[in-house]
Amino acid sequence: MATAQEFADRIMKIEGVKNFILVRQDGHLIIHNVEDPDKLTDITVLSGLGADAVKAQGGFTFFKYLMVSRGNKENYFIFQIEKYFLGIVQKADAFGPDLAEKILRFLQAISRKKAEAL
Amino acid sequence: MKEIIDEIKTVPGIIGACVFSPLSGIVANNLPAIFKEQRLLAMGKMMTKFILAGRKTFSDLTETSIFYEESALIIRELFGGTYLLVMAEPGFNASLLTMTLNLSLSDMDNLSSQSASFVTTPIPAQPVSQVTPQATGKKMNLDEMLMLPDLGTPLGAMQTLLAKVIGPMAQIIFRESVEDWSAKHSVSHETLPALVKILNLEIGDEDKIAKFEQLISAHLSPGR
Repeated sequence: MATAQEFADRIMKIEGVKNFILVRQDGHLIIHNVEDPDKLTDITVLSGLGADAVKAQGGFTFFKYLMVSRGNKENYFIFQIEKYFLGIVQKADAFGPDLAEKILRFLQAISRKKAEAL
Repeated sequence: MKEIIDEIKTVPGIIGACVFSPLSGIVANNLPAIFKEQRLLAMGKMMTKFILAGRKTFSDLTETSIFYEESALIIRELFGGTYLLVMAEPGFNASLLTMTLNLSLSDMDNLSSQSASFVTTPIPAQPVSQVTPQATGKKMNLDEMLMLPDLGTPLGAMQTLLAKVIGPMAQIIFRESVEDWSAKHSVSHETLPALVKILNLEIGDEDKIAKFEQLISAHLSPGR
């Protein structure tokens, strides 16, 4: 993975992203640009790990993302990147499914580059 | 409930849905039989934690969806500890599902509030020891009662279990019966048997009454 700051810069260039937070699965905060990182760290790790538990219970294979739908339309997305979880706050005027696809493509590109470098 | 989940299933890409309560189990279900109820309930219970924990961070949370490679799971709270779990194919139309959910649930709310508005019996003043909406002279509605620490759980369970016995009219009947009960009795755990009597009159079928009483017996024990 690129450095945390490079990663943050690239995430923020994706259309529809308002804020982001990157945390390790053990709750260690890596980088963010949100107002209350502690609150978001908790919900990101709890939901990310929970989605993994539901995956095992339901017999599903690959966890793509989790979306928290909100009344103010600033939906919250959680993606898994190896031992990290990425939380994304959507801009209210963005279309959630499109944003999720853009983030997934971005994360896949990072994984590909990493695999090529090995 | 069955009508609502059947309507949801008509949305393209929806595999099926179930309504459940972590306390009382599956209330209605139209998912393929391959999804055993025990497994659905286990998944549902895990997902209710997303809702409960999520609301601590996002007070305006409406639903949570998880997208896996093969399917998507959507969970939304209906009322008093009862949840709707929808399973969909990956490419389902999320906007259409949200619209269908909102319309179906709004119809359910409208029916419920219309029937409740016919009950106008004033509530007599009650000697209560703790500060509740009732103590301040304000008539307590079912939603407020469901928030009370000693009554919320048994009332929520009774509502869910009534749906299991009499089906989709349960929510309306329960709301009316609670209005009737709260107008004639103090709103407390001790007077819950009086609510059961009112509900039994509404059920009106001996077998169903027996089943209902059996299901709720555990929830009426003091200290629950």
